[in-house]
Amino acid sequence: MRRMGIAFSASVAFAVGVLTLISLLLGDHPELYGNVAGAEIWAGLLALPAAVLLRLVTLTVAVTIVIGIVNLLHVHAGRGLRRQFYSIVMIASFAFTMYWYLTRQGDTSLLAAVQVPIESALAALLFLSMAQGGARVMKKRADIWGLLFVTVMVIVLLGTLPLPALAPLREWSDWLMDIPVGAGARAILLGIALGTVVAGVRILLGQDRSYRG
Amino acid sequence: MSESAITLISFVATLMVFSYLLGDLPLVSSLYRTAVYIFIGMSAAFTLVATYEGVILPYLADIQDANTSWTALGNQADVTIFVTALLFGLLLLLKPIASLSWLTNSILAVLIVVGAATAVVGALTGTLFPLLHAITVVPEDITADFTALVNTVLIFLGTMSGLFYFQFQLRQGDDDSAGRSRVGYAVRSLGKIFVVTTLGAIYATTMLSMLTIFVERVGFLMRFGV
Amino acid sequence: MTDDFSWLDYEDEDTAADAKRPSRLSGLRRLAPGFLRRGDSSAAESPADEASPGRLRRMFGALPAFIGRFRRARSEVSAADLALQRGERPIEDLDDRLQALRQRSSAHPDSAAESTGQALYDVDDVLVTPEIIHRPGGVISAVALSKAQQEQVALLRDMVGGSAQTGEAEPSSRRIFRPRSGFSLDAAPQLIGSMLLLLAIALPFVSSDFREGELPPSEFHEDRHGVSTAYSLLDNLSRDDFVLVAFEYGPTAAGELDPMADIILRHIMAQGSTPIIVSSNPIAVSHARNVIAKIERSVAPAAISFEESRDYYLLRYLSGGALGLRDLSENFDSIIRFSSTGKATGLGLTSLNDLTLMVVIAERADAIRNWAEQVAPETETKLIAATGYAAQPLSQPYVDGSDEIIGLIVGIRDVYTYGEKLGAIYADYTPDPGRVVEQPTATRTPTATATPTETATETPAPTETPTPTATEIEPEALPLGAGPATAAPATVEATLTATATAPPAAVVPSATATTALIEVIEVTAGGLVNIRREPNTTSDILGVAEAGDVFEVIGGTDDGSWINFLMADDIAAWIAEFLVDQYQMPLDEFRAVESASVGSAQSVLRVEFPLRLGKNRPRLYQVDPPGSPERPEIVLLRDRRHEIAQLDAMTLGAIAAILIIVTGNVFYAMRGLLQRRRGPDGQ
Repeated sequence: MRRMGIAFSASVAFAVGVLTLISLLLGDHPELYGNVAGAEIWAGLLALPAAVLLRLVTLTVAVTIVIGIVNLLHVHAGRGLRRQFYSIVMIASFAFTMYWYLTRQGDTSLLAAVQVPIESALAALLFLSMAQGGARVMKKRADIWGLLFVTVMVIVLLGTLPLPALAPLREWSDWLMDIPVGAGARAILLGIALGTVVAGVRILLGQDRSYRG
Repeated sequence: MSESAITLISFVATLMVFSYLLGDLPLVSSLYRTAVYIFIGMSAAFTLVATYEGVILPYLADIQDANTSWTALGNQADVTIFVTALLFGLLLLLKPIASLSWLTNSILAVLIVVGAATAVVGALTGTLFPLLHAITVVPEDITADFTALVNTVLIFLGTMSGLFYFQFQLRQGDDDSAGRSRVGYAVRSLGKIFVVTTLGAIYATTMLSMLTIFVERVGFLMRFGV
Repeated sequence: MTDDFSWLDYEDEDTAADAKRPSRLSGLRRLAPGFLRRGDSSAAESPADEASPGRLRRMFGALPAFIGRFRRARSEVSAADLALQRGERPIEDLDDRLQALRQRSSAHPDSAAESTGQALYDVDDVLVTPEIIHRPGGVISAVALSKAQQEQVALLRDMVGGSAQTGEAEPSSRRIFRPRSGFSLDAAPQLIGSMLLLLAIALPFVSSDFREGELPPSEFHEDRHGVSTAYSLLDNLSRDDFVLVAFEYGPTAAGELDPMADIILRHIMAQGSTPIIVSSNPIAVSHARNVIAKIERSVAPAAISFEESRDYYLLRYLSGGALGLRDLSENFDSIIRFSSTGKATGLGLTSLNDLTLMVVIAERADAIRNWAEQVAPETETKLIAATGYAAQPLSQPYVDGSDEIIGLIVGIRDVYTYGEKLGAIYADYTPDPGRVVEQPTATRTPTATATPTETATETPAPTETPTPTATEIEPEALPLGAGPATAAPATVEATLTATATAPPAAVVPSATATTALIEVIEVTAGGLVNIRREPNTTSDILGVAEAGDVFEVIGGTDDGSWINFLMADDIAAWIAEFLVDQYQMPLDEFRAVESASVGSAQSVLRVEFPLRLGKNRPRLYQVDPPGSPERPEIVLLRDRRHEIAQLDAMTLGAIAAILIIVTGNVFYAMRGLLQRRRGPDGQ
């Protein structure tokens, strides 16, 4: 039974995956069809499966977001009933925001007044953390890679300083950002893309069933 | 809400978070934690609103109106898609029931493979083709400009060796003879130079972003009169 | 990136403990308290076993991650805790490849920096992007929520912070910096460092005496053609244009990116164009509404008010991350039908190609990648990328590698320059809602020799420029042989009409034009020839020209081997003498011919560096002469009072940070060397 279930899931995955792939690649691209008669119609028809499936998936995501928020509230409500102060704060914050939004025709000024300052301040604190962390790169292992890391970090930071005395260094910094960093960034992005393609194809072929139970 | 009220509340909220810097004093740390819980509740509320009003509500409106449709397939298709998505979301809750795993797994399969197909197409057309094209094109008058020649070669070498290093790192454990040879070691080391350089630059630029935000917050507090 | 927390994942300590409790009474009864819970634990093992990471992994490893991740439920929620979730993630939780990578990377140096950098992103994500389908499986997260990016960051951390798996984890380095409540000698350097940073940043807000360094330039650097192109394209919008503006940042990055969004939106709206705002971040949708409201408050003195679905559109939230963006590409016509509040927008656009431009304002390179992968390939509409500093390194390759993506506008220094450029142009417009047609400033009439009469003739009224504003030109499409011998005005006009790039009014020479002679060069060499900043072959290439292009000469080298001339926007440039013919030409004839040239007065030429960034084929953009803005007040009433103090604080803060980083690392490096010299036993 279990094997049948896995086979069923795999079959569904393969069918839907290939359909989506073909639809995304060939749909709405009549120029790929050459001189085939009715290319426009075929391209339009082929675009449909991807459009529908994307719509279905994004809508499912939205549904699960709502469920997830209900779950969050449920958890905190339980804790609130046990008089845990911060959970009460969280529930109250949620309830007040909803009340405010619904009774003031979608007024989002609470976001500007409360959430943006809190999140900005949290991110601001991380600057201190990063500065401290940057100062300790050589703490564990003072080797050539640590030195390279720190040197690049300092050159890039110096390159942003608008001090006339640092003008020659700025040219170095610009070059560093354009050439070595540009090359390294391309390598990272290409690595990610290649990994995505390989993993994607594996999933589509059923070799990597992340969804199995 | 008036602008002055927004400013005042922002001031208080910022101070609540910055109280974190003062350490573990009981009152002070509770201010910080209160602020964090407030924002989690608020975040949940705005997410709920955006999701319901922006995604679900339009669907509800459309499926009630037979004259409009989200897709070219007509109103009935909209109803089907909506009901299916709702079912999918709810059925995922049944994941713990082992006997229904064939169903929940199939639903997950649909989500995952649609994502996989989208990822493959996007990575090919949006990253692989353009980036590879950009580094492999040889400029027409490359020999006329020595600096350009050096830079172009550096970009090519850096990208390729960095990619080799990246892939080698991820594949370690496999018997990768190419990566273990002397040439492989040299290429890997070269790639590592480029990748570590890039990571150093990413760290520095991330610090700059955080610094910008920090400056904005400190400036706000200073303007308010602290 | 948000793989450590999502709303669905969230569960408190008690229910998490319930989930771990061996029980076959799963089913619906167990779903009730926690909704989503792993209740079918099949093995009744001891609590001690259950608590072990290996056990938990066996329990949850086979599950889709977004359900299985309940094991990391916590009793408390704080930013630090949330930030730490990634740092404290069990090694077993990583997939095999990453585990192997971690082992391999144990030889790499530690970097608290990376951990904190990661903490940064986690906090960021946790706070901002509570997507639910966070990791239903391998690749969907690579699409929707950038698994690949996670791997890259994991690699980053492993490379420079590989101590975690060697048992040398340094908890303090993985936490947000937290000063201790009591004084400790160990904490002194941290406290001193933090105080130094705070002081450096606060001083410029106290007094302008603490100004260090220069302000950003009032023009984008000549090297940065991408950002200049982006500005030019935005500057040439007109009333009927629709611009898709993606707010891909949340409240966390508001301090950095709000000014950028503000100036871009003002620029768009001042020209009468209509921004259509969209986001794949649910909070950003509401935040965008606040940004618009702030702009509206600032222009209230000019009696300007904005109405949603008339002056701007705020589209519905695109759920599913990258999948949502692909949905936008595939189902654009239906997505734009509804606003963020579920109301009908009344927009009649049918595809992304109906837009004049797209602008993505992103806090992370991930967002640029998603737009580059899921949207840009599906449309011919250009996409302008604007980011914070953090996203620059990994966003730049997309800008350099794709002809469809233009930029990068980066950080608040670019915002300052942007503001300076706009300020200089809009300063001549009186803040009068009467929409009086004004003369453009000198910077908008590149021909230095143009007389006032000519300028007036060439300036189209705003109502006369409703055509598409910017066209990318293929070099081959440019009129060849449009030199003085063959270029009658009629020919030029016909050519330009065929390429639909400039309004006829802009190319017909004025009847009152002067007949004075000027010195010109005409490119005679075949193919594309380089225009350089300095009279040598190693200097930067400012652009390209081709046979028939005519430019005004302003000088040359003593030996005559290089000629100095004016290209578009009065940029002085050099070209090798052997590539051109030099002669005199009547000014009116020159103006007609120049119109057909790539760098003519009627165009704004922007060319990407063809060589340095690995490109062979330059991008040439011919842009219509901009008309008068519809509502200049929107730009003029922008509040810039605190800009300079902020820039000064940035400078001082960066200096302080550099001092701390250098001092700290020198100290630790010296200590490391000393320890190494002493040997393992301290001898």
